[in-house]
Amino acid sequence: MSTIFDRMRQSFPDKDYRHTYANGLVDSKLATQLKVLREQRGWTQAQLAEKCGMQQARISVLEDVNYASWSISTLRRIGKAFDLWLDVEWKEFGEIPSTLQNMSRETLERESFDNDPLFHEEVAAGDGKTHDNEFQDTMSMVVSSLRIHTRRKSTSLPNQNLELDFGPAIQSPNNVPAQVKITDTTHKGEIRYEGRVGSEQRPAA
Amino acid sequence: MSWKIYEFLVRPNVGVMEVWLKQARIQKRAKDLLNQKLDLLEQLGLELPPGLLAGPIDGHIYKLRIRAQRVQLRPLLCRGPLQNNSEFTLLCGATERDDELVPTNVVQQAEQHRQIILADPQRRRCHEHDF
Repeated sequence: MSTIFDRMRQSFPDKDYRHTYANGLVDSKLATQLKVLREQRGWTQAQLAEKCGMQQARISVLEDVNYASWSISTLRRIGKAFDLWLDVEWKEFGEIPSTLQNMSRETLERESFDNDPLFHEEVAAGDGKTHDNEFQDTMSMVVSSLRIHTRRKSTSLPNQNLELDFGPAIQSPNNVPAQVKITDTTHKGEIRYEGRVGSEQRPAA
Repeated sequence: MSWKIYEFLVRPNVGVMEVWLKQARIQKRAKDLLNQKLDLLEQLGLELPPGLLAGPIDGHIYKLRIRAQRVQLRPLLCRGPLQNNSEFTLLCGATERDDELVPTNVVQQAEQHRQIILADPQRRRCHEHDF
């Protein structure tokens, strides 16, 4: 029995096929994530509709893998109701197999801003002798980017541990390299991180 | 966990979907979308993707919902029927017009095919989406 990937390799050289397939996958994923996010919050379609300023029937139409008329403004409106931001980008077709295979309730769930650990957990500062707010902000932005990237890959790389040495590219105010340890601690792709800032001297060259 | 997709054999080595797609003259874009929805079903099953399946109708039969531009494909399938928690079997091809399945007796036909497979598991094969 052939795998999904085998079939894609066979069929995707046909340009019309791969674009129809990809569009169908995006539509399916959006509808599925809409349902997953609503259920994650324990909301009915009517409750979500009220928060979006829409009719319940409209949510019902959108929560269908066959719905194919998404608009960015509608998606943003729904994103605001969930307190999430919308990311739109072009991708290579080579990402389709992993996109499909990584689709699950766990990988589609997202936390609203109020539950986002990045904004509501203290950055552990190690022995934190020399950190300042500006550097903390820089680190938070880097960690945030990595967190989103890691979440996207989380299913295929469960429990990964990444140790990152920012080296000379990002330095603490005292020109001491910072180290941030990124650890994927759950199967949901959520991560915890701990930063160690400015407490060590750069090793002598 | 992914699911296995099988299809009923109308005769040796001839799958029911292949015959239906030719007879009903289903257009290429609709077939392409059918493949995509079958992959979704294979990967996610029936619980997560909203609106992918409708049913059960008359006990065991589900409709796979594919909305193409000019046609609503509704191939009929069942869970199992041999391993209900890990496989689906495509039983008949159908379309839907004005909320009515075409052909009109397709649900009964699908149930007949399900019974045939239960009596003789050799009357199905892994579905390869090769249309």
